[in-house]
Amino acid sequence: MIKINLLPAHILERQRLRSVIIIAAAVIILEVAVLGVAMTRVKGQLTDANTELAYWKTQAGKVAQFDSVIQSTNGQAGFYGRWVAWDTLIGRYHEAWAENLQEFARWIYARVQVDSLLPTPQQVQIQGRTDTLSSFRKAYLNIIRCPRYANVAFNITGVTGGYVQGQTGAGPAPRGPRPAAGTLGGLGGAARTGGGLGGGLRIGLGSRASTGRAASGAMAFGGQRAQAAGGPQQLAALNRLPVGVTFNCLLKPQYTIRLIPPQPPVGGAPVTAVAGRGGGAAARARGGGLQIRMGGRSSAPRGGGP
Amino acid sequence: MAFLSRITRLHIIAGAGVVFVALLVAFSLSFLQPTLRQIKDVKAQQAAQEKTWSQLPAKVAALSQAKQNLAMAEAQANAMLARQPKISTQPFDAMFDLYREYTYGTGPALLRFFLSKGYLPRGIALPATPFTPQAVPPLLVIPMGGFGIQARSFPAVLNFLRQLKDMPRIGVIGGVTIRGTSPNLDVTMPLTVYIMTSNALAPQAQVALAALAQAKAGGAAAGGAGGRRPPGAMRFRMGGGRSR
Repeated sequence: MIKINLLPAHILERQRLRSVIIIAAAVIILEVAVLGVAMTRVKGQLTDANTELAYWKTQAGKVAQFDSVIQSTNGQAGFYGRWVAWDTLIGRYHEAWAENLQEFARWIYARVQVDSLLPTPQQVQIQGRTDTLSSFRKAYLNIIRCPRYANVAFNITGVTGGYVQGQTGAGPAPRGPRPAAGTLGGLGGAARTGGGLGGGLRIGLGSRASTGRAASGAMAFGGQRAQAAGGPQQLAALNRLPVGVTFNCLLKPQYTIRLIPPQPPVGGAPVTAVAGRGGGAAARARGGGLQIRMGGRSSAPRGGGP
Repeated sequence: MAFLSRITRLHIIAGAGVVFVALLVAFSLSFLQPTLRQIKDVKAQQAAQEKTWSQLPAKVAALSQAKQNLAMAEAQANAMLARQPKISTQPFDAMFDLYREYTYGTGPALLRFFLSKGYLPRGIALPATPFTPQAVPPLLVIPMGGFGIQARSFPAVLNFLRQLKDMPRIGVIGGVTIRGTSPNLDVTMPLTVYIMTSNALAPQAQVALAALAQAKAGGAAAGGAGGRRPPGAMRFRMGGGRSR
């Protein structure tokens, strides 16, 4: 049997196209549906992640709160600590003064009678007297060995020792054995030429030059030395020492800090802000504030007494 | 209709393929990739937050340590404050407290201290007391000018300096000068006394002190050393020598 398709070709083609279009549309609709599902799932994942993140943020916020509390606690402890440290520093500061003075004195030659010891945070000035220029030389050589000094300058005043005054002619005659000529510090060793300090002052650094050994343990304050040596007569003798000397000793930076008073933690109001007003003028009018008397003798008001 | 009659299956399949791919690309570019990137970022943030959270035990320990330190520092500071005279924070009461402290407190206490150590001080002077109610700063700075002692020997001077840490008030000396010869060494030094008032350790004192520090930065430093005695200063004298 023969099957004959009597439909025209264009009608047959339209039917085939329709089925293709339907299939294509179905595929696209299916794709859109799949993409929609995927979108929903991905969005769900994002929402979950955000929810979880919010939870962890809350938890981490607690840690941050801890941080804040720790910081605040440390800050408060630091505030108290600074006060306590200041109090401790003051004790050390006074100790440092004693220690520094002791160290300054340790390097003063025993044959120097010290008239004054004037330390400042930056330098130490030592004024005193020696019996001879030789002693001065040894004193200088001692003092420059002090490890706390960066620089030592000296000055000699009222030199009457070391040469005989009033002599004319060849110039002052050096006393004692004549050491080999040399130089010392800023003074020229000009003994042979007649120049230099005092016109012929001899300062020798020869074979018997000072060893520079520190006068350890020897208190350079003359009176004490005199006491050890024999009492008031010795003291009187020492007071007539002829060579006046002044040493200006510049402290090394690491030692200057130790002599600067510690400041309060963050400052403080000067007392005049509280005490200077009101009381000042009234006190001046009364002759100078309050007097407190202790002991047998009376004390007159400041500025008003005999 | 003539146009439709020219469309073949190939055309439809090609068109559908283009739409299919275009939808996929559009979905990927406009939604999928940004969203996945967001998720990745969120996960990274989450990991960071988790890491932070994992530090909690260490933070708890640190807080405990900090609290211990605070308690210790507070106890030390309070002990320091307990040694200070009681100065009220109320201006009116403070006026009387300061008058009482200047008159019967600091000066006599210092005198007693020096005498107990065997030194006769000269020239200990306090500024005049306030006679108007004023706000009291957390820290009173009292420059007392120079005072002197007579020491018998150089070691005695050193001993004196070492004993200053036991002063009944917080006192800081300035430059020490020594003149004379033993047994009449004349030791002079400026002294600055600090008095912590009862609000010195209060929390608000931090703010006040910071403000004071700022104000002080512009003006002259209240150094511990030196300083002239303010006008109208009180002077404490003792029997021995006259003090100028």
